[in-house]
Amino acid sequence: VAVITSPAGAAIRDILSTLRRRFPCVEVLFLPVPVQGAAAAPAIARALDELSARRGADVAIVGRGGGSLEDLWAFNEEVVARAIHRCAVPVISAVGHEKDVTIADLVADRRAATPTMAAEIAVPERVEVQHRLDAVLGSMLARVRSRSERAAARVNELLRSYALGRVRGRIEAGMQGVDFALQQLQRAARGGLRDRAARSDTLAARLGALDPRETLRRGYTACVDARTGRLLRGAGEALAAGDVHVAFHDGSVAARVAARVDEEAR
Amino acid sequence: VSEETKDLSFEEAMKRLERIVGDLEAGTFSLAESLARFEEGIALGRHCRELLGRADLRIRTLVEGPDGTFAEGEPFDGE
Repeated sequence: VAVITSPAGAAIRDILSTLRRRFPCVEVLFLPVPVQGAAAAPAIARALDELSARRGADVAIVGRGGGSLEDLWAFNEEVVARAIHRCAVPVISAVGHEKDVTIADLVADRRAATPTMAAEIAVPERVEVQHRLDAVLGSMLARVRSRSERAAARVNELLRSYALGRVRGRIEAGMQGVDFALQQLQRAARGGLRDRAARSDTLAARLGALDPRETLRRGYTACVDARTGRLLRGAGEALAAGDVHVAFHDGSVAARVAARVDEEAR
Repeated sequence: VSEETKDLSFEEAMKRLERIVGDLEAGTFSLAESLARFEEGIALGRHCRELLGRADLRIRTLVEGPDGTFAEGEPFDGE
């Protein structure tokens, strides 16, 4: 709250004591000016312009206490009226007493009958503001509480819902499926081992059949080159080798290939 | 948020608080957003209470010098 008045008059004391009583948390910007005499009007106008340029307050009180018509004359001057009119900060005029009406009063945004009343217009009662603050905070609290209660109710509703029940059912069914699959896997693994064991028995039998010693036991012989030990696979090879070993099932004998006989026999 | 809040004037803080309540009433925010606004609102409310609780009227003076420029002047207690 900006106050433009004399530092010596009753107006500033009334305004400050009223502000202290109603709303002491407000900040006051006091621009002391002369309020009577030739210097008063231009000084008041300059103070208004300065305040306007600074945007130094939310509201301004301009005025003085009671006096004669001459005492109040500065507030009838054109410079003051124009400065009030162009002031960017809302102006409350408070000049003299109830009965005194000046041009400043007519130009101002609000006219107060006295400086005390100007201060009452400028600020609310603190207790009223406190009520308003409490109401706003209470309303906020109620909103948030209802919002969070709504959210909690929604969560509960969802937890109880059929859809979630089905999902839960599916999860349980899935778990059973997994258990079953695991059992099958174990069974299959055990079975696989058994199968493999059986198959290796068969393989052994088949390998046995391929064992050349079995053939020798049946009366056949094998003939190898005496020098290289290579198996001789034909009469020509035996003839070429000359010295051979003939393997029986119980041992080998050395022999020399004398001649090819099948052609002579023919 | 709290640093910003501390710099707000009573009216600014109150305006912001009222807007938060309006937002919450509109109910278009998610629960998390609502709670974030609520927290800011509580901080604003605390700040407002603190400002309201100030007991001393603070008075600055702005005095015109001989050269016509205005400057902060001596404290004035009005007593």
